[in-house]
Parts: sequence; C-alpha cells; structure tokens
Amino acid sequence: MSAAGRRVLVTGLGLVSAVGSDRESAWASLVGGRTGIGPLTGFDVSGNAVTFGGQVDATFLDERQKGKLRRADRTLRFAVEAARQALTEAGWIGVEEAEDAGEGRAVLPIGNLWGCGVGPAGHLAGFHTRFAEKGPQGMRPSTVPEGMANSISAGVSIRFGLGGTNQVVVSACTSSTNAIGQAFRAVRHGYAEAVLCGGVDSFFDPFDYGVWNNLGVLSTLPDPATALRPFDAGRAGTLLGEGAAALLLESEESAARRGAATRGEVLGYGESSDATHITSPDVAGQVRAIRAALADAGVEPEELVYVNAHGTATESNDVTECRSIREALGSAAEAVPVGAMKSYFGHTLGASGALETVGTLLALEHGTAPPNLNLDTPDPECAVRLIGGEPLALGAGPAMKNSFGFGGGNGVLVLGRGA
Amino acid sequence: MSASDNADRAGILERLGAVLEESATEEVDWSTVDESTTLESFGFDSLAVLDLIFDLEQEFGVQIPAETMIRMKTVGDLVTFLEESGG
Repeated sequence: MSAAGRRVLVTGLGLVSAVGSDRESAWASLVGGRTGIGPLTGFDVSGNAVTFGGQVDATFLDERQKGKLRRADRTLRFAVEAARQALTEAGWIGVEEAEDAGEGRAVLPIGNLWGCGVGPAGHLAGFHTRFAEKGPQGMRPSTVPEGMANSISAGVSIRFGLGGTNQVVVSACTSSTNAIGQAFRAVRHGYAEAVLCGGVDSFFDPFDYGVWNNLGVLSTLPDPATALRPFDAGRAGTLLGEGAAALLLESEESAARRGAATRGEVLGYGESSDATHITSPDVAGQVRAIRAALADAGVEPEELVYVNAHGTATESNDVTECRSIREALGSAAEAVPVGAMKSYFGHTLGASGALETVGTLLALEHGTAPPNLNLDTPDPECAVRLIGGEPLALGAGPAMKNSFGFGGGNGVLVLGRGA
Repeated sequence: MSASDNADRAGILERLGAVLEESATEEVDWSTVDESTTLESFGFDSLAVLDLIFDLEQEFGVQIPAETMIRMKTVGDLVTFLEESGG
C-alpha cells in the first residue's frame, strides 16, 4: 500500500557528466556503451597508483558561467549547470534568462535540495594548503562560507532565485538519493509544490584523489576503458567520477497548471541504516530500504522492469547488493534485469544517486536499458539477471534505483516513466 | 607629479592588479584595467569586498577601515589611498 499523497512528477532533468552534459549526448553514450572513463588530465595525479576516472570536460562552463562564478568551486559550477538544464526544461526559467547571474530575478516558489559527499572539496583542499603555507592569519574571510557543504544549495538558490528549502544532504554515496527522496516526500505530502533536487561531487584535486587512492578500493587494472567492471568475476574495484545531476520534482497539480511536460515520476522512496559497520555493507539493512521503497510506491517486485544497481564494482558491494536484491525481491529477482552505470560515469560518490536516477529515467523514457560494460564473466556470487553487453528492451513498468553508502546509509527510489 | 611619483603609482598598480585578480568575482579583461577602472566592474559583493580588504592589508601592510573602502570608486582611488598610507 502506498503512503497517501500526491503524484510527484519529474518536469525537468539536467546533468554534467563524463559521458555528456546534456540529456541527448549522455543518453547516446549510455545506450551506445561508451564509457566516460579515461586517464585523468585536469590535475596532477603523480604519486598515485591509480590515475583513471570519469572526468568532465568543463570548458563549456567557462563561457556559460561568466558572471559571478569565477571563484566558485567545481562542484557549484556543475550544480548550477545541472540546475540550469532542469529549470529551463521544466519551463520555470527561460533559456536566455537562465544565462545571466540572476541579480534582480524574481524569487520562485521552488525548493533546492542537494546531496554531496563532502561539499566544495576542491576549495577545502585549497584551504588546507593555504593554511599550511600562511597559518591562521592568512585565511580569508570567505573561507567559512565558501567551504560550507551548503554553499552548493546556497549558490544554486542565489543564481536562480529559488525561494523554498535550501539544504544539502551529506551521506556519502547515498547523498543524492536521500536528497531526491526527501524532495519527493516534501512534494508528495504538500510541503512544497516544486523542489529542485540532485547531487554533485568532484574529488579530482590532488588531496582528495590521493586520499581515495589510499583507501584501497580503486581498480588497478591497466586499461581505463575496461578497468571498472561491475558484477564481473574479473573486477578489481571502482574508479572515481565527477559530475552533477538535477531533477525538478513537481506536484501533478502544479505541472498541470503550468502545462509542463512530464519526464518521469517518482513513485516511492525507502531508506535505512545498516547500523553495523561504517564501510562494510549489510544485506539486512539494504533489504529494509528496498522493501520500504516498494511499499511506499505500492509496487510489487514482479512489476519492476529494471533495477539500476549501486554497482560499484567492488567485491564487497556487488556480492552484497545482489544478495539484497534476491532477498528483497524474492522470485521476481530471477526475471528483473539489473544494470549498473558506474562503468560509464565512474563512481561519482554523492552525485551517483542523482546521475544514475537520471540515467534510469532516460532508460524508461526510451524503453531501453544501457548495456553493462565489461561484464565478460558474471561473478557466480552475483546471482541476479544481469544485463549483458547489448542494450536491452524494457517492458512498461517501474524501475528501482539503489544507493548504498559508506556510513551504512541506504536509499532506494522507485521510478516511473513520463506521460 | 614627479617621475618617481609616477613610478611609485605604477608599482602599486601592478601589486594591486595581482590582488584584484585573485579577488574579483567577474571575468575581467585585465589588459584594459587602468586607474580609471571602476571597482564595481570587478563584481565585488559584500563578501568579496571583505576578502579584498583582507588581501590588501596582507599585501600592503595597511589597515583599511570598511568605511574607507566604501568611498573607493576606482582603481586610482585605491592607488592613492595605498600611496598615502605608505603601502
């Protein structure tokens, strides 16, 4: 039985990613099986064992974001661009109007809820370096506001005049799935008519990338195109990506009033905490989140046409996640196709839930699931119906998006196709 | 104004340009910046102005009260202030 409430439609989408920074080019890469992972070139990777990842070519933002974002962190610049796409597609802001810095713009009745792993990671790394060089007397007044995790939602709010809620959710790789889930609940239960939600992260600076290298979860395979192998017996770990994605969630009534087109629908959301270990995933915790999401949506496991997995390509994640899917979906797990998109985007951490939610909505819109890249020999421990190396036609019906993060937080969305 | 005064002002302008370049929030064509350029054109908001004051105090070893900063309209005004402050 679904929780009583209003229908929550997706009226706009936006993304900045290693496989494209607009919906058409990103979808062409996904359905065409083209990875965005390659050698990292945007910063000094010397001294790191792993030097590959899903890097965004952000040069187009230099022209687009001339006003006021000159000093902004990479994360805010990505978030502003993803937000611009979603707000203009939804028709809340005109395309030309969205190009300027937003001074004097009318305040819109739209909330703004982002997920991220840390916040403006590049800025924070720079602050550490400056502190080491100049000490406390050398730190500028802007260090505090520019270093806040919620500088991202604040920056988007100011840029586009979003006058509703203004928050950032920080829960590692589940961050933006949590943000979308919270935005969904706010609209469904009448606390807001429209909320812009999504996720962003960029850890491509020498400090953050180096720290991740030393965690021991990155793939050391030598070919960037095949190094990230979700569910494959030959997998060797994940690779980082960077990017942002945004969704404009809107009540059915508001969308109808404005005559907005529907790009998809959020049907349900579930969340849980493993309450066991800060980095090791747990089947019981994940199952609780999956079951909560399906119950919230009023969807039976047999109705699902697609599962977009967390699928990080670490042994710990992939084996645990497949067990969770089997346990939560029961016999339906034999039939529902499972795919992962981190082999395209890289693991974009706090952005991953939102980017892969956008990918899932595009798959539903096109009735086609992208192939699982590099899945040559499925791991027998991953006993679910894994999509192969070709795109797969999907039936009409809802999809499920999983996100499972460090810290033990789990978030699951149930998504539907647009009208 | 003597030649040495002009040289002093040019030296201050050069150091000031480096500070402004770090603080500005708008894209600026630095090849066109001279003493007549307005500070407004660098896009300082109230927060960026705090950074600018901080950076100027660090670079020139002077104290700049906020009310003094508010009176500055052009790059030349700042150069004059820094010159008179012995920066």
